Amino acid sequence: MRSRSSRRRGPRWALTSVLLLLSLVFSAGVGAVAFYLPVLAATAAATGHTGDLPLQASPAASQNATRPPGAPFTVLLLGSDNDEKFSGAPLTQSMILIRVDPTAKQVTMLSIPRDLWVTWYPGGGAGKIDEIHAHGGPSAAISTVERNFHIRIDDYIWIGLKGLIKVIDLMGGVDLIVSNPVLDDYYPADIDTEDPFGYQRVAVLPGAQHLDGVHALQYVRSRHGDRRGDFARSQRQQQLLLALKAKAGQVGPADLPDLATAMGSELRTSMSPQKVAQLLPFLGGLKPENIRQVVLLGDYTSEVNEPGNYALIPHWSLILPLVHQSFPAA
Amino acid sequence: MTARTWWRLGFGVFWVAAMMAVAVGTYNALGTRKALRARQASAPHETTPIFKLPGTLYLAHKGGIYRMQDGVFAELQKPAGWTQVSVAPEGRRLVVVQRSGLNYSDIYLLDGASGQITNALTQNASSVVEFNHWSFYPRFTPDGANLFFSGDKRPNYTYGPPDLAIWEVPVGQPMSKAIKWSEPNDYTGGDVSPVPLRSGGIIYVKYNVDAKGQSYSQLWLAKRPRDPGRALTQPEESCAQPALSADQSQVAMVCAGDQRTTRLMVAPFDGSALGPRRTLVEGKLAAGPSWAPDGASLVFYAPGAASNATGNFQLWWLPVPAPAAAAAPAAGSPTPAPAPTPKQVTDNLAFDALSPAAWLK
Repeated sequence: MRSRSSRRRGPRWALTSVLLLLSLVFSAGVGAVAFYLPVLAATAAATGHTGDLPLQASPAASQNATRPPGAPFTVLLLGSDNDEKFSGAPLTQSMILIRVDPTAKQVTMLSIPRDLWVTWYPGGGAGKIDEIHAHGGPSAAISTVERNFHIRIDDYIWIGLKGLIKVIDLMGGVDLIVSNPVLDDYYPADIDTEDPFGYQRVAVLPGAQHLDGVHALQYVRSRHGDRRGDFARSQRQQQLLLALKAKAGQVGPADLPDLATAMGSELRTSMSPQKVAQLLPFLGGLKPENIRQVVLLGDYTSEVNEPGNYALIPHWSLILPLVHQSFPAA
Repeated sequence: MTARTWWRLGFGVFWVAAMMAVAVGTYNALGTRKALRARQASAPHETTPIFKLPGTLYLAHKGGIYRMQDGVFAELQKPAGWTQVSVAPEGRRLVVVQRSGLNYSDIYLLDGASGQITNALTQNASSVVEFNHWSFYPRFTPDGANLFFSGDKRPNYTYGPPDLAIWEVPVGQPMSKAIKWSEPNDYTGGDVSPVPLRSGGIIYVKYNVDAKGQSYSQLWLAKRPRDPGRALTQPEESCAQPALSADQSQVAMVCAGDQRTTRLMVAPFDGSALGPRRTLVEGKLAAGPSWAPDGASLVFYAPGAASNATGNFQLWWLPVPAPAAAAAPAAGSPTPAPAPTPKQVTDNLAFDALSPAAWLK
């Protein structure tokens, strides 16, 4: 017959074993949390900036909460540097409206010319659309696009130039077909330099090739040597987004810390972490033929070219029907 | 302290160490699962190709120049911005572009055996940004006496279009002796990739922009300097990167009409026009075709098989069936004839896709 103490020892050892096992699981969890800490920190810093969404112009923030899963939504992608050569927020060098329809598995990208002459919101006044971000940040940029294009924007994503370079390099570069020799005698040499107003010459030669971050940025940022100016640049920016999308399929969960560290403060979005998490696999599985690219080339605008004052006057009677084919009128 | 206390203390220390090991191990194990960790390309002379190609090939790889002979790579110039290597008809001289700094590029003559620089053919660097120049795509004439290239040479800097034009200069002569062959379309990127013909003319690539604002390229034929020339391909084909077979009877080219994928095509050439196209490779990002000396096969660049996740361009080889073996449809239309399967020659390298291989017997 077993003694009373040995009967007690059995459950105690079992309890001790369970506790030891839990401590190991806890340790593994600590290791995992440490690994993903940059993601958590970057996600907290970069996502959920719903405060940047306009209040009265768009009920986007509240509609975001009520929108059913799988419903189409519109994102305004803003690209710019965040260096110190301009006081306050920088100009946007790129503005792309992206309509995502998860159910239909379709995406439409529409580039907005940076020199488009529009009414600014809030507050009225008029100017080039790339300047509104400098005046009022993402909120004003969203309001201005919404009110001029008569659409509703659900979210925005802002990405900085350095962040773009780092992400492309981290992905091992991108594969692109450079459409034509991209030559520019006045390409801004404003990254990691003491002279943010400096310039350099660039030559990105044509053909299929593998580009690192710096050269991919040259390809999508150059605009002085092309007769199509900003329009060609818009096309190239969309091309880079497609190349990045192709690479997105290779991103695994273990890559997220490096990506988060690379982006640092170079990414900011109103989208929630959950929404970003839902979007990534969708984009990774998206087929190229289901991506529609729109650039407002040709008759959609006319140029005003005076010394020191170049702008594109929008022909809204042509632009709005085109835009509303893919972006529902608000 | 009793032995039991010591045992407990020892076990506690051991367990804390075990917990730390598990935490560190988990951290490191997750790190090994990174899919994007860039697979670093090897240096060619530290690798062996998957299979041997006959003859000698000169290639550019991550800014260096390499020779591949009997399945062995030799480094001729260390990585320093070298690109676009071409070889003289007698096979002893190489002409190469170097982009060693910002704002400019220069053309150099190298000794084909040693890889040593024998002559700097251009001096395009300037301390004034606008006074720098580009020189690209050098090619010897069939007699080896002259050199064609693309350059933005402008007599005096003006705030004009920076487009590239085609020039010809006697080898070793100063650029002031260069003759301009082409007039590029303004602000399109210009004219590139001259291929000298035995007849004295050239095939080159002319860029333009259509009414819808889309950039496109055409193979162009010019018979003499300033000859407006004429198109060999249609705008909608958007063909570029011409490569002429040694007997000048076939042209290989890369066409990218939709600018999302490329088609590697070949067409017979009678000296004045291209015959029916045959698509040999489709659905790959093909670039930089170059003919074998016997004209029976091609090498080109494209990303490697799926194992190469970085997308770096590898060397591929492709047999080219004789034109008679394929059906002869109407001129200008691609054939549906089955294409031979290309074979990957190298793995885990990172060739310069803008620098077609120079292939000698």
